[in-house]
This record gives sequence, C-alpha cells and structure tokens, in this order.
Amino acid sequence: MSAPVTDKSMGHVEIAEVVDLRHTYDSATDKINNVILTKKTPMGLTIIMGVCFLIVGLLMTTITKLVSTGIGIWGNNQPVAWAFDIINFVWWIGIGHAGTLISAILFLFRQEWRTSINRFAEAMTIFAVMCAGLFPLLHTGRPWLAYWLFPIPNVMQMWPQFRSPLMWDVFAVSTYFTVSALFWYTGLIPDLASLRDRAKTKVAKIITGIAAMGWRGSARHWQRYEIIYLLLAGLSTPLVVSVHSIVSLDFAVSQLPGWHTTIFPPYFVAGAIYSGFAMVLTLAIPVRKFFGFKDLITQKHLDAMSKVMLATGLIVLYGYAMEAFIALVYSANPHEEFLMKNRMFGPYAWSYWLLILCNGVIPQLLWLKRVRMHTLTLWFITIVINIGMWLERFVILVTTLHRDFLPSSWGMYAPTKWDIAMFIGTVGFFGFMMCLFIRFIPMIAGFELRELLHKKKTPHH
Amino acid sequence: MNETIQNIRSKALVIGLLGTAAAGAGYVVAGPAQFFQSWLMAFLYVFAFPAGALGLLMIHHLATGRWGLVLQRPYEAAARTFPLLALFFIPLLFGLDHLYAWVNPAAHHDHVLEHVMHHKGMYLNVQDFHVRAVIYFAVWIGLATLLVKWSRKQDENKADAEMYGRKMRMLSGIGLVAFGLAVTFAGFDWAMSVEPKWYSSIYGAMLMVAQGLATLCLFAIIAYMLSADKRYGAVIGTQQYHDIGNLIFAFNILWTYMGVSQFVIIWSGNLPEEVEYYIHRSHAPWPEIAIGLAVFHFGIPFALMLMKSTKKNPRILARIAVWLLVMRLVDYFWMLMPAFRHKEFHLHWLDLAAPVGLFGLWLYVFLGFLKSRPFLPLNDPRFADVLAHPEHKDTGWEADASDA
Repeated sequence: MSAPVTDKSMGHVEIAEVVDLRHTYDSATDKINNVILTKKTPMGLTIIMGVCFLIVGLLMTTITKLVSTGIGIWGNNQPVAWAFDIINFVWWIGIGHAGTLISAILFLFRQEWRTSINRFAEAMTIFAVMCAGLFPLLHTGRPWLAYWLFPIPNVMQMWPQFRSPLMWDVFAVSTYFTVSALFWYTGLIPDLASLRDRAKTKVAKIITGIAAMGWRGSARHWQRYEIIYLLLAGLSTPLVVSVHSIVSLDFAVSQLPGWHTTIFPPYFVAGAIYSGFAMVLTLAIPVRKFFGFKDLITQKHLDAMSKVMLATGLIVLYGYAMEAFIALVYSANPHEEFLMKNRMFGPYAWSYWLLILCNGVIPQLLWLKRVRMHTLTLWFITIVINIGMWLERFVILVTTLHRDFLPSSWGMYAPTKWDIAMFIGTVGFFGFMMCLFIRFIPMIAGFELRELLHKKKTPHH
Repeated sequence: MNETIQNIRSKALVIGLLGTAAAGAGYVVAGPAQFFQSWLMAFLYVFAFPAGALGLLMIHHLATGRWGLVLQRPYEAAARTFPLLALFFIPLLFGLDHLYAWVNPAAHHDHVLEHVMHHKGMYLNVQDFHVRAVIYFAVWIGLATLLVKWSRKQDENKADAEMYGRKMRMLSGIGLVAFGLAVTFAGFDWAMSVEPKWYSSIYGAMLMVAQGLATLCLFAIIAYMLSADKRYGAVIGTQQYHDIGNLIFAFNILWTYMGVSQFVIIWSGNLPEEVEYYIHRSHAPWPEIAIGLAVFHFGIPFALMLMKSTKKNPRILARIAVWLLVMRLVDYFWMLMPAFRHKEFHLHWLDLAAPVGLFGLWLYVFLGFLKSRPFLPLNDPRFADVLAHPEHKDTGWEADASDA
C-alpha cells in the first residue's frame, strides 16, 4: 500500500480518464474519507454554512409569518393565481432529476463517468425535493391538514379528486422522494462501513457503526447489495420521467393557451434533466476545486455532463420552437396566437427573451470543446442555465395567466418580499444541507471508485 | 452469407414488384382516393427505416457503444435509400387533393376549415409543400451521403481513421438538429395535415420515436441474420442482443408514453379544434384498434421484454421484432385512415398490398447496399477495443457490474 497521493504530486495535469489511475484503493478511500474523519472543518465551509444557516433563519421566519397570517402575504392573486409557489416548486423538482438520472439510468447504461458524481447528485436530489415540497405544502394554506390529500378513510366524506394532476403530484413526488432516499442510503451502506472501520473516536465509531447496519463486506452482502441496487435503479428509472411529466400535466390538462400543448410532458422532462445537470455542475465545480478532487471528478466528467446539457438543452429549445410554430403559424387559433405574441412582445417580453438567451443562446457555447474544458466558463454557463430554467417556469406561469380571455380581468404580477424571502430561504436551506452532507457523509462513492480503479487497472477489462 | 442475402433480395424483389404492380392496378380498380391513401401509409411506413437509421447513426457517432458498432453498417445502408424514398414520394404529389383537404378547402363544404385555412394557408399550400419536401430530402440525402462517404474512406484508409471518425462526429452533432427539424416538419406536412384543422405539438417527436422503434426492430432481425457470417458472428453476442433488446423496449415505452400524453392532454382539454382527432376515432372499430395497439403493440411485448431471457435470445428477440413491425403498420393505419374513413370504416386490400410492395422494393435496395460493404466498421478506432476483448461478447451486464 502506497502513501496517499497528495495534490502536489498530482499537479494540475488535465486528466483524460474518469479517475486518476495513479490512485490506489487506499489513497482514493483516504482522500474521500479524510474530509469527514477530521475534527477540523475547513474555514471556507464553515463560512458558507454560517451564511446558509442565516438564510435558513430567514426561511423559518417567512414560514412562521406565512402560517400565522395566511398566503395573502404572497403576491399571487387573480388573475395570476399561481406564481412563485409553483415556479419554485417546478424549478426545484426539476433540479432533482439529474440525481436520479445519474444514479439510475446511467447505471443501467453502464456509463463509467457516473461514478464519483452519483452520490453527490443523489444528495442534491433529496434536498431539492425537500425544497420543492415546501411550496405546494404551504400553498395549501393549512399545511397541518395536508394529510387530507391522501386517500385516508374518514368520517368527513373527504376524498381526493383523483382526476386532478395535482393529486397525481402528491403520489408522484412522495414516491420519488421515498425511492430516491432509499436508493441513496442503500448506496451509502458500504461506505459508511468503511468509515466505521477507519473512525478514530468512539462517538464516530458508534454513529457510523449504527448507520452501516452491520455491513461486513462478505460475499453474500455484496451479492444481495448488487441485486437490490439494480432493482432500485430499475424502479427509479420510470420516476425520472413520471414525476416531471405529471408536473407538466398540472398545466397541460387545462385549457389555457401556453399551458395546453401536447409537447409538454417530454419537454418538461428534458428541461428537468437540463437544469439538474446544470445544478450538479454548479456545485461540483467549486467542491472539486476546494477539496482537491480534480483527480476523482475529472475533466471527463465535466465534459460528459456538458454534453448531456447540450443535448437536453436542444430538446428544450425544440419544445420552444414547437410551441411557437404551432401557436403562431399552424394552429390558426387566435387565443394561441395572442398568447405567443404577448409572451414575445407583451409586458413580460423581457423574461421571454432573457429565457431564450439563457437557455437557448449562451449554452450553445458548449458545442466548443474549449469551452467544455474551461472550468470557469463552464461554471458560468451552468449558472446561466439555472437562471434560464427558472425563467422558463416564470414565463410559462405568469405570461399565460396575466392576460386571459377577458381583457377586463387582465393584470400584472410582482412577487412580494415574502415571495422572494421564501425562495431565497429554500436556496439557503439547500446550501446548508449540502454543506452538512459534504462534511458528514462521503460525497463520492468510495467502493464504486475502487471497483472502477480495479477495472481500469486490470488488463482485459 | 452473401448467398443468403442474395436469396432474400430476390424474394423481396419479386414480392415488391408484385405488390407495387397490384397497387398500380388498384389505382384503376379502386380509384385514386383509395390508392393515394394506401400509398401514403405505405410510404410513411417504409420511410421510417431510413429516417430512423439516419437518426440512430448520428446518435451512434456521438455516443459510443458496442451495440452501435454492430448496427452501423445496417444504419448506413438504410440511410443510403433516401433517394429511393424520394422516388416513392413522387406519386403522392399527383394526389394531394385526394389526401389533404387543405389543398382545396372550398370543395369540402366545411366553414371551419375554410376559416382556419385563411390563417394556415401561409404554411399549408401546395407550392410551399413542394419546396419543403425538396428541402427535407436534400437535408437527409446530404447528411447520409457525407456520413457514408467518410465511413467508406475510413474503411479504405486505416491511417486516417481517427480523422474521419472525428469528421463524422462533428457532422452528426449539427446533423441531428437539421434532421430532427426536417423529420418534424415532414411529419406535419405529410401526416398530421391529413386532418388539417387538428394540431399536436408532440407529433414530430412521436413520429421520430416510432421511426427509431421500427428501425431497431428491423435491425434486430438483420443482426440475427448476419450473425451467420463468421466475422460478424464473432463480434455479436448475447450482450449486444440484450442491448438492442433494451433499446427496443425503451423506444416502445417512449412511443406509448407520448401517445398517452397526447391523449390525456387533448381528452382533458376537450377543445373542439383538437378533440376532433379522437372523435374521428371514437366509432367502431377505431377504439378497438386503439385498445388493440395498447395491448399488442405495447402490453404484450412489454411484458415479454421485461424478462432478460427474451432479449438475450436472438431468435425470440427477432420474433418479437417481426411482431412489432406488423404493429407499426397497424399504428400508421390508426394514425392516418380515420381522417378519411371516420364516417364509414373500410379495409381495402390495397392497404396491405401497397406497404408490402414498397417494403419489398425497399428491402431489395437496402440489402444490396448492405452487402456491398463489410458488415463491420473494422477501421473504426472504437472497434479496436471490441476486437481486443472478445470475451466480453458473452458477459451480460449484470456480470459486468459484479465481476470486479
């Protein structure tokens, strides 16, 4: 066993493999676990966590104010009855999709580059779904009665309306959260065991020992593990598509121009993956720099993820093109035509063109290998996409609702400070949870990485 | 191997000529309306193979994979048949007024149609229809020609293999964008506009998925046939069939997903301009055909292909593929014919003769292209890896995941 490879010896060479082959099993495991098995939290992480914690305080304040006063403190009202609550819900749910795609679909497709980012992306999924869930939950106005959404036999003659996609959302999102959490935790067990084996303090040993659920790494454990992991991957795969398709139906089954169009389900799914990959990169690029993980999350990962963003971004653009073509040229429906013209040239035109710029124009830079290889530019593009995908939901929601069929009921929408506080609050909550995750849980799947090293180093594999 | 192909070719030619001749006779016997309806369906059915192949070929160049390498030559051979499809397309140009009510809206005594055509006329008119068709075929033939040319150069010239690989990759990126738009708008023009008042923004995507599905089904059969070839047989194994099977499975689910999405959205909205599509399909036997598709196109193949053993066994896989190719024809029938026959259902022998005829002729030309080149892209740099590890041939992916 050689000494752990330090960053200095690695230098700043660009690595063309999915993992630096100079790593040994030991050095790779140490590198991942050392982030956790140390008493010293890096200063930068402490600062970020502190800032995020303050924002979580803002979120708590907002929720308290919201619950005690009522959702009247939000800016949505007739005609824009749905606004920030749904925009942010869809935005967060979409972000979560990359985690599931990376962990499940790329696993089934045997893509090597999924290793070393899957754990991270799955954690992101779980926290993003938590943030997403907050919005509809609080939008019910009385979140303590949210269990009424479930078909629980009761004496009040209350029964959910199963014909509403909002109801399907309840089932889709809760299933999604459950399966994602299970999948994530199952994948963690072997790593928690290796943490347990390397823990030095008694407290760390006990906590990781309980969390590892008695994993000993016997052949039988591994055999069962492989089976359950494969099954969970198979179960998660349809969820990548179903959740966002159902979210899209929230809009598409209505009769409103701009919502009611058949391309919505696949185009929402593509958009979700697009924004999810952007968010994974937004987080992974600083983390890999900060913790010196460039030899584990390599250029090859960044390149592969950029290509996925490019492809899904083009599908999203195809969706915009279909919507515009059908509305302006092919449908001959005056309502559709008005909606699209209002979207493009009405009072919210700025949001539409900004959306096209963020989601359609700037990401085309990813065609160039030079851009994909330039980490800082890439990071900038991922942030642009995050903004673009948020704008997409803003455009869909607000431009459709603010001018409906009856001009006398037209209106404008602006978020209140509580809308904005709630949104920023969830971003802070997300950041805080990610910081906790980075500090306390191995953020790269160590045993999968060792397996990959084995494959790469053994000839004939 | 070449004898087998030659054998199938001659049969395909005979069937093709007979079918096409019968279709020609049908023009006289059954009248132009019937002829053009059947011909349009046959054309779209056969068009799926080169279109699906060109799309999958470009995806293959962008995303590496062993399943792609064993199918590359069938993709290329199919992509070369676009000129033949252009030939098949020409007769339709003489029957536009029989197929598309938008050609002459006043003749249909439909005020809504006339009103709608005031707006739509700027897109749906005969002249632009012609111009666009030329553009579509130019895009497809151009892309296919370049990709096949470079692939041929790669075969001849091992030293520059890398360079030609890069060229094909570069073209495929841009090419997919052009291809996707061309197929979408061709789908609108040729198929969606048979119901000129109706529109659905998912139509193009759904058509592309259906074409990919048909192509993969056909090529699962072709790959099984080619496996009798010594060299090809040495490379293709259980794992490749399993991969192809998984893709067929995935495309079939995707096709169903899109069909259901379209239905749920239009049915819930219940808007007069859209729901007409389903109203046309609401009288017997159309709903029964739809249920039949749900069960036999999706349900049963889905259940069978859930099992690994069906996808790994090329003989079973090929049978499922043949079945799905039959179902594809039923789907085109369901997509197109209610526009003409919703008041009075009928099934004509031309509906079978025309697709069989065109498919036979197409198969003849396709197999000719296929046999004219080696069955494997041996100089492809990605291929070195395949040849270096022949033992990978028979490992299933679950073994792959656990053997470390």
